[in-house]
Amino acid sequence: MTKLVPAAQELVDAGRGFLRPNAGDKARVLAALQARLGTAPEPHAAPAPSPLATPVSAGRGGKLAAVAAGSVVLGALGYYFTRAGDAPVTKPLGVVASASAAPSSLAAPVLETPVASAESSPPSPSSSPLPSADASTARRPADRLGEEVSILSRAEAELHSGRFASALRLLDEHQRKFPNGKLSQERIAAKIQALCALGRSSDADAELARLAPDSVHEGRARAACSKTPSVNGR
Amino acid sequence: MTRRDSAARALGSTEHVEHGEALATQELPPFEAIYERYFEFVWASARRLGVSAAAVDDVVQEVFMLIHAKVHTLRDPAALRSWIYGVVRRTASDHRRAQRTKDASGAAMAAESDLAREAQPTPQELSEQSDQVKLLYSLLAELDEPKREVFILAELEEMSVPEIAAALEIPLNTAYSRLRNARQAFEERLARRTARLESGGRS
Repeated sequence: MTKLVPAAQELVDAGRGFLRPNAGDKARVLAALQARLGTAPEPHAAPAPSPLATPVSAGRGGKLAAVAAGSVVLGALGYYFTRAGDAPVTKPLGVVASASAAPSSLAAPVLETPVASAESSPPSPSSSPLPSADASTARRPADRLGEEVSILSRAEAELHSGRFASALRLLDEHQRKFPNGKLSQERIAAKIQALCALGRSSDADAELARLAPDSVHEGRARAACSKTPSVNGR
Repeated sequence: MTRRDSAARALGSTEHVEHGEALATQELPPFEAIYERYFEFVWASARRLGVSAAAVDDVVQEVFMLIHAKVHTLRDPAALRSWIYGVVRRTASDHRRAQRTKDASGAAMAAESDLAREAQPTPQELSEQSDQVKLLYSLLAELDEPKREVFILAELEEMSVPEIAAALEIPLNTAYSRLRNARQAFEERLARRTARLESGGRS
């Protein structure tokens, strides 16, 4: 593949840094993500010293640990986040995770500057991880995704803990609130697992048919079903 | 093998090892490492895909929420950056569609193909830039969208062609030929612009 002529290359080099974020942007978005994925940390949940500790995390320890915990939960059908934290997560994402419960590698990423000023800080998350349906429909799309993640995280936690009927209820709640949500495929995969565990194989088959063609979840859902012992009625 | 698999497999070649530990170890980094490593890429990509400065915070948040929720579905860790770009692309597209619906005015009913204009930085943003940057974005605006996108990914984001093919879900050969055409179109426009400036200077 030929390279650009020098004059064109000069332009490209000059423009490469344009439209890039600054450290303040990075801190601000991180803080907003933390607010959406977790709630305020417990006052005593100071983060363990870490090379990744930041001005943000220093005063708000445990938030990204909550993010990581949520990741563990949501990744129940995968390998990735469960690798990040071996123990099954039993708390929903909306519940604060103690910093000490998370591996130190899950501390907040390095930030080069302190968090943006107060006026640019995101609003505090609601004290309730699951607002009412009416409230959720009035919310902007970004918050709806946060609620989707929250419900699915709780469902996955229930799955991990073997409370399949409870998981199914949460998944039904997700389906009711977000029939065409961004995480619908994840919900279906989790539901298949719960149905299999409850011995409802025909219902699981029906859900399997709802997965998108060539879905990345299909193999994992089938595998989860084949491994899950039936605990009918649990 | 699907086109995507094919492109993703190509990413495993040593040609792309420089793009991060994930390629070398074939393991997904933890979420916060993904944030740390790809925040700038996500942000810049969103801006270049037509997300305004006012909306970019929300769109970038949305992208990372989706990454957080879905990264475990990624089959090939080596394709992480391509996959992330796909998430940014879809999210930016959803955002633009939502904006149009929200605005519902004649001007806001622009077709998807009008992204060339939308994706441009605002005059105010450009006014603070050097003449070279202004010229670069002026030339980029003249490229059609597929060429501009592949040019930006290759030249500004320095993605490899196999990565681009995976990100755009196009065959590898298509990505190569599109980039070749994009570079050619860019250089031709630059040459014309330079010639015009020179002739203007002489007259």
